Amino acid sequence: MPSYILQQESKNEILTVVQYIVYSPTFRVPAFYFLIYDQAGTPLGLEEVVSTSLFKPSTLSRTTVHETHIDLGNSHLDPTASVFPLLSQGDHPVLQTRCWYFHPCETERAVKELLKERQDGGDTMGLEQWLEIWLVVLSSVVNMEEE
Amino acid sequence: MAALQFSPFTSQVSPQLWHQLSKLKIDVLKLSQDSIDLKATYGAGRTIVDRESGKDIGMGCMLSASGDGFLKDRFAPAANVAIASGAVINYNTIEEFKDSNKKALFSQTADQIWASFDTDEPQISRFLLITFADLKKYKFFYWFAFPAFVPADAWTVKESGGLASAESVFGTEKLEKIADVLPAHPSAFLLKECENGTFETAPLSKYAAFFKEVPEDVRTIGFLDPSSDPQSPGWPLLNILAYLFHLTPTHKSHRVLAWRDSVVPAAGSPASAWKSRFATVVASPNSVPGVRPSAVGWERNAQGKLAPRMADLGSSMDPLQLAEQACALNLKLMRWRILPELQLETVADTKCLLLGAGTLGCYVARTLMAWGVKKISLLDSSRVSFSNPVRQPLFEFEDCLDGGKPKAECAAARLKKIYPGVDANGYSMSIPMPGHPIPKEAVAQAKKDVELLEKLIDEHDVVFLLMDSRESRWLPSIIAASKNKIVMNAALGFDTFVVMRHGPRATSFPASHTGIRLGCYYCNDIVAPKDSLTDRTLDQMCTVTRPGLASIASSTCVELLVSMLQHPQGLHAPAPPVTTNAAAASTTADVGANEDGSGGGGEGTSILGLVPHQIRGYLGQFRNLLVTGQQFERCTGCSEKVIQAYEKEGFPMLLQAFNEESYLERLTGLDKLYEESEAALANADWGEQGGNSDEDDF
Repeated sequence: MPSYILQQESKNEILTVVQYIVYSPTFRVPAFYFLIYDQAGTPLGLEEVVSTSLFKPSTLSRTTVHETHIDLGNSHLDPTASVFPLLSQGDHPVLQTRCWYFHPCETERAVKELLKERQDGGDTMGLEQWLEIWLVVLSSVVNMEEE
Repeated sequence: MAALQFSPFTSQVSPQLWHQLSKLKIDVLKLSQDSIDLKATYGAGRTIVDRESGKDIGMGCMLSASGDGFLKDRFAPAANVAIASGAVINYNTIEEFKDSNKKALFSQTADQIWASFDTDEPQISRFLLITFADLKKYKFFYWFAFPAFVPADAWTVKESGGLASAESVFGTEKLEKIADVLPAHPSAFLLKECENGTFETAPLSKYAAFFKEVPEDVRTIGFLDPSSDPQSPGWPLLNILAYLFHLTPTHKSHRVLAWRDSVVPAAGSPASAWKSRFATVVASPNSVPGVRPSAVGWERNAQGKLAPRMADLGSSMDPLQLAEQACALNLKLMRWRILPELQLETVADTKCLLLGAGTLGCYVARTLMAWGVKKISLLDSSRVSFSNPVRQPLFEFEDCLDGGKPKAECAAARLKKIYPGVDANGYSMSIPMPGHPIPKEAVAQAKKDVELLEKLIDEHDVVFLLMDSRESRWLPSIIAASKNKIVMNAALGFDTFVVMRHGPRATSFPASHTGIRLGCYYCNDIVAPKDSLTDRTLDQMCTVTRPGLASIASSTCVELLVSMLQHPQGLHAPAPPVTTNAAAASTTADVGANEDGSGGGGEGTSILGLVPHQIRGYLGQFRNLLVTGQQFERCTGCSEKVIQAYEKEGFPMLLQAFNEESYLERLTGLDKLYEESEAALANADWGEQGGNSDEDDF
């Protein structure tokens, strides 16, 4: 390697995550869709997806991925466990590309719980507040901080 | 004066690039190996904080290529990125890709860059991309080249500390003003401070005019720097310096602002929030203007070698993989949402042999596929006839023409059409049966048929008896019992059905076993199976049934199997206990009748619910009855006498069973049973019933 070229130390693999918020007309709530791929553009398989730093450790720490299923450990019995354990794969409703998404069937219930707490505290609830709470719920599962 | 070390580009490709390339190849290029234009982008170098160590991790020096880059009208890069133009050459075979004259292609690209240095728009970041798209496996081999001119003697940095923080040189206020005036895609620009304190930029080519009145020690060259290393500027700087040296050879040193603050730090941020770097770069005194320097720039692969990279998009582009993932996901959702203990792989790995590819066979096969069963074999001796397609959902009208396709193979082929990932096979064969003697000339074939049946049963885990006669179920029952295979039985009446699982053979129970041993299809018979087919009337031959019955019986049969497979004892799962319920028991005369409703978690239940021995359905009443039948020690279908005779003697014993009417009855002792009961009847003391002699005797 010539001296004028910086030698790249072998380091962490760089993955690109593209995140979307899509409205689900069936469940009438927002749904979180994402694509995750490596430097070559190869989309990650399920086992790799769950081991990336995209997810907060508590979400999937008790999860083991097998060839045909995902074992959630006991998280389905834990009331504080994430309400987005239902990682699914499907077509992005608009772009028609293959995407991962959190199935929205539990979303309404999860948001309603927090919504109720806030309402009891005197806040008025509009769509904006609903969306805020949805983002709070989502961020308990997905790492959303920018450095 | 320290030599400058430049960070080479690494490519970052999005899957859309490959999707778009595939489309281009199929629709436009076909076999052409003409180069196609591609636009790529790069942004300011980024670092992120490692959540575990808290350290800053550089994100490398990245050039991003996506599918939009092929589409002139759809290419809309964000602000604050630089645009690089490139050429893509797609080869048609991997050999051509490997043998391509890379040196020549590289030189060509470098020449293009050098030639652009004499124009107003120098192509600082022009790149080359060679590809090979394997559209059967959806694998894409590719190699980027980012030619950059390197002087014989290295560029050096005047400042002893190397690159400095731009904030320390300009101060926050000035940097904010610079950020305000940057061009939209600031790949490279000239920068000067005006008298009124604002800043102005201009393209590099305007060097002479722009810097006319500006003293040399404040002329600044700026560029969007994709490197994140504090001491190493990004690859584009090499060509920028080469260009400037070509443009104004008398200027041997340049003040360079490596701009990395696309996102300007918020007001009040500390000085360290600014990422941009600054250095005065000096050419070697030996450098000669006007001479095209040599160029380097093939991208190294992930292992650091000068070799191509590969993207594998099978999982998102290969329709077979997409089908497989979708079907598997469907089943997984059931598991995740409702039954985490469900063992899907146990079901999927169970190899199923379906004897009979008629109404029952077709519905059973479909339901098995829905459960993800990978290996399904069908056996049938007949051809598709015109009455079949409406009732047998694997067949179509065309299958009936020209005498009709063989059912077994036709069904298997249709299964593969529905889901290509299934391992489906069809075997056309007649199953020899008791009561249908085999003529001498057909014995050799019958032997072969038996051998094939034995082999198939051996190779599978479950045998489904789905034929249209009683006696044809005998031979497979014996063989399967001998091999300890699971036998699932389904039979239809006009509006009734029976679905049952055969119990395990007697010798497979440990000596300590108490409790009921479950029986087989023949356990309730007191005669051996005999010819029920000859002299049948038309309605008996075609087994006329209510059309809805077959799917109900078939689905019930598959679900019973799956429930049993979920039971930890599998084939040895006991039936749920008998609960007596007078009202229900009065509707059936069966031995050991059960009533539905035994609770979950008790004996004879799996996580899916009950694992009954027999289910008898009465469509007229929309009612199922659960029945437990005990193993009969003189049964012609499962008694040890019969199985052991088969195991000892093999085909000759079977031949006797097929040919001699009373053989099985003698073997099992059923003939004795008949004699015993006759004797008991004769010996019964029918004493006088006092006083009512005009009552009828029964």
